[in-house]
Amino acid sequence: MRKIISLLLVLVLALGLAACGGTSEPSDSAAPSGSTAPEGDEGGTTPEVEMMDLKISGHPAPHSLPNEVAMEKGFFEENGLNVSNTYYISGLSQQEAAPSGTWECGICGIPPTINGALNYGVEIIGFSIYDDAPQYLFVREDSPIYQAGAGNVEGYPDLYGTADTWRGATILAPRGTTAHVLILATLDALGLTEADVNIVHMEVPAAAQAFAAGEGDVMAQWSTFTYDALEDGYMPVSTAAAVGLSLPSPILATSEAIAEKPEAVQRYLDTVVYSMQWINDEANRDELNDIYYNLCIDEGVAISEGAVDWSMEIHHIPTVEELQAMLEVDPETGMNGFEQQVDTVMSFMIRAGVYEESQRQAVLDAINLDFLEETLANYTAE
Amino acid sequence: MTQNTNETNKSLDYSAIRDKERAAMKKQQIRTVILGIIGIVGFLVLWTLVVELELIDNRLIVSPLQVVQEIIVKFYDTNPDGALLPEHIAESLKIALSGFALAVIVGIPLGLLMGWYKNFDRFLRPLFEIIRPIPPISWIPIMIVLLGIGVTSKMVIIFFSAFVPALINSYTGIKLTNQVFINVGKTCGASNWTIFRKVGIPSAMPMIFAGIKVSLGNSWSTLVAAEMLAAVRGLGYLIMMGRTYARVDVIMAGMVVIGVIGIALTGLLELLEKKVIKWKV
Repeated sequence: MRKIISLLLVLVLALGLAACGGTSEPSDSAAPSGSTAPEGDEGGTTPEVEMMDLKISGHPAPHSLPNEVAMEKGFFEENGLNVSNTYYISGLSQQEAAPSGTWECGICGIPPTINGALNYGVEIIGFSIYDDAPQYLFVREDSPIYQAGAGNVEGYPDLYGTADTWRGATILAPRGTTAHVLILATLDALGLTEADVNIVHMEVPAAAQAFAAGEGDVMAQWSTFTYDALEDGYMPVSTAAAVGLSLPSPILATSEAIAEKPEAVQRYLDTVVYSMQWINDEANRDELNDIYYNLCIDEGVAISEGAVDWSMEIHHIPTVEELQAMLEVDPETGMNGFEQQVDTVMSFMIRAGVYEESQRQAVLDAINLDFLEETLANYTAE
Repeated sequence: MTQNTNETNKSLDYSAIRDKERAAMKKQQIRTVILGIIGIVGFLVLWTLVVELELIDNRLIVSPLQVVQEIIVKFYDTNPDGALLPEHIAESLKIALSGFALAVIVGIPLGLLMGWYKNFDRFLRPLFEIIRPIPPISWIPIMIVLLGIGVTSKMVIIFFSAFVPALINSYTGIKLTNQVFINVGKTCGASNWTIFRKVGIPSAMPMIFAGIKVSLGNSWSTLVAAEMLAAVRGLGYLIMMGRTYARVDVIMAGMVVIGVIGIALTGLLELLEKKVIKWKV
């Protein structure tokens, strides 16, 4: 009798494991046509692929989801990579850690990346999920900026207020971040400069807390904090979309990794691009939401399921076709799409006096698209 | 006559000894200054060599000369942080000194009273022991809600870091009052309050001043944390912005200015100490 029970238990366990294994594989529908999806039986590791070690990095934020998805779904292993991942609390600390070799590849917001490109030997090898969608500037309902209504500035129908209502406003925001770039773009649209407002340097969660306590006239919010601010009834008066601002999140590799282990960097980029296509597939939405929710909870980021849904809905994930199109050089500017977008952000930072004109070329030189061309060539070939 | 001559000789001996002692003291003071200068110059030479010989990546450290250049530049250029150096200094002095002053005003009397009156000690000590280990930075979220993001909240954060040494030193100082002096006071019929004022407090003064010096140091070291709360200017903010934009020269300029202001304030404090407790120094 005992033997029969043991056999039954083994059978149930084996069936259970088989079922679990089945669901953890990327669905056929998830693999975009012509993708460099991991090869082998049902996406398993091909026996001849030699495993390589790679230290990767990111943040518990949507732009780093390709890393998290690839780790959760086993895409890295399938592509021959043994990754060790570190999540940083900010892009600043992530960039500062680069020279010490703490990470070799990663994903980060654009302003800290500029910093890393200028000072820490970091190169841009592609773009991940864009950061601009949840970038908002909020006011209270009784604010003169909101009361003035939208569409007062020509060419910006969704931007609230006038130059006069914005002038002198106290804005709570972290400087040197995507939020700062949004403020600069908003002021630019209004014909104002940083000198016309009072930017109080505060981290985003602290800004939300201070704003709730009645401090400041405007606050900048990002990521799921934006969802919370909308839920709290604050009024968005400027967004990245309203001022036509594109904030890509660069995929990075350190110069050292590029020189010493180009094959690992190539595999990393192949996997991240594949992971992005998996994320883009509507069929994977529920699973993606779970991955993002668990990531936030594991990393101590307070988040609701509503915020996860909203966040996954609004973010722009570049498709393979978009990435390919961005490789094209615009004859007018002499720059490709990647260079143009980085250059736009750099222009705002230069105008704000953060960087100097002489540093612009160094940032553009840190864009290395050789790996991406190879990644995308596989898609074209297939 | 002989006795008078002897007394004159004795006084001559004493004045000669005193002169000798003064000369020796002066010599020692000069030696202290010279050694101090050699120490600083040696450090600067070592620092310059480390940068010039590229023993440390030049992106991570700049030479003393570049720091001085950046300090000069910050007198007329607001980039990259949006304010001039004098504005940063004024803001930081306002915050650090107001927090420090509040800590001294509250901490010293409280420490003296706790050290002298046992019931007062029993009443306040548990509360103080709870507050004491809390890092000043952890007050930031509460301060934002309670006091906003202005000077007051930053001042209170600095107060928490400066208050502890001010209180502990006054407490210990008055506890170490020589029992013989207290007994003399009692024998002469002085009240406990009079003995506290006339014997206890003067006896605690050297420890109180040591506490004030530690408090002052703490005030400046907490400045960066206090300005993390929210800031538009200030030396801590300058350092943070230098970090944000990877401007090592800006970071080091901010650090050097804080150091120099710290030395100047400690010097002033020592002068005050010499005046107030002449009998001891």
